[in-house]
Amino acid sequence: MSTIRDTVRSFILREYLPGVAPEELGDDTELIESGIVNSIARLRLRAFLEEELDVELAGHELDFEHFGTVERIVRLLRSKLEASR
Amino acid sequence: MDFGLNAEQRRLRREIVDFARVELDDDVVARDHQRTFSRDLWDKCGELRLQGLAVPEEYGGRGLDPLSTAIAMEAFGYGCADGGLVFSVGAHLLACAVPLWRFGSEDQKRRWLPDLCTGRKIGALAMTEAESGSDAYTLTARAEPDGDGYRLDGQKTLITNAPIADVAIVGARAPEGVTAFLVAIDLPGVERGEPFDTVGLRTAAVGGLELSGVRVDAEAVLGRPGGGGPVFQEAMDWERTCLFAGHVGTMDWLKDATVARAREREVGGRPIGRRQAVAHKIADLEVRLEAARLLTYRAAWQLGRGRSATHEAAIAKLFVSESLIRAALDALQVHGGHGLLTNAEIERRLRDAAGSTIYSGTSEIQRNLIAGMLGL
Repeated sequence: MSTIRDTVRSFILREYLPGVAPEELGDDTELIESGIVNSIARLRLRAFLEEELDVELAGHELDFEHFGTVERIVRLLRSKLEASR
Repeated sequence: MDFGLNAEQRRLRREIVDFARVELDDDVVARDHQRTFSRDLWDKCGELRLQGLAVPEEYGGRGLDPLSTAIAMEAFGYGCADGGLVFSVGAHLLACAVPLWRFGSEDQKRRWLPDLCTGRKIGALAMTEAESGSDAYTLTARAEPDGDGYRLDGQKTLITNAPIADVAIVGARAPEGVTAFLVAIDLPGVERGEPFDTVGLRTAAVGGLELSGVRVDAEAVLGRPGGGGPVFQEAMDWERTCLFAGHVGTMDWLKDATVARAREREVGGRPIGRRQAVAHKIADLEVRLEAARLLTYRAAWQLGRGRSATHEAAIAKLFVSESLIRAALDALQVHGGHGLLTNAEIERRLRDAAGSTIYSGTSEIQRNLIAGMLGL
């Protein structure tokens, strides 16, 4: 069973870092400032995560604080999923 | 999956169509000719709180869900002959009141929303600049830190409602990134331009907004510093869905008018609608209308789920706007020379439709967005 972290990482690696070794995407790799995930990619990542994990994400959560790294995305998703239980 | 309107939505539709036909449609040809925004008609819309359809009742709105808001806007576009008025109300509601409700602090919402929902105050979204259109991240207006607030400088253009607005959500580049500010228009340094002379939607007031050293408190930030992109994107998701629902209503009106004309107008002893060249054109209009309506409802449904509706809204906006222009051209063709007369109400709707593939993001931007969401 894949974890939330696996879900986030595999989407980013497949869609935005094709050909890059998985170990090069760290939990703290800057996604927005480095340009890995641009504004449209963030919208797409949001739509993917909402459908995949059945979770609601707000527009204001697509910022550096919540969407800036894999770790921050995972933290946001965990808090959402725990709140919905 | 239920494709029908419920009883409440049917009642809402009837209420707004009847209201618009009785209260809003007089003298629209003259107002269009004279390029006049009618504050009286705006205030009448406020009595029904059309300017606050989607805003929760606790802030003075009608508390409709996004799908019901789209149905209401569709009814407004169908019943109201004044396309500029529908456009003004839609922009005010969807690009100012809704983002204010979605991103505003409790103080911001309490201060502005009750008057925005009743139309006592008029709102605008000021993002567009001469060199920056649909891409919020390329704007050049600046927000320099100044004590515990900011100082705003920049020039906005083609802003719906700017010449008559009391408040605007202004996009500017702060040290934290693109930021949305809630700016009262009576602040020193804010100057509203005169309404532009436009090909269509001439009863709406569209113009520029100039900001010269406008001092705002930190509390004027809508959302968070650097968080302007999501504010703008959510405003666009709502506008592309619900403002364009009004255009679905206009298409429906064009279809009805064209069917009536094709049944009444006789050439060679029989109605022109009996000729396939005419009938097929109207059948195609009907197909596009139904598809436009379904795409719009689908985007509104997605908004109502609280999920990202960017993809669905872009598809709906692209299809509705291009279908609207096509519908207006087909309606004109079926009406023949009669359709060129201002009193026939067709040529104005064609002019009003012309900008729909440009505002709220051009068709090219929608295609870029759709392709991007597909991973291209």
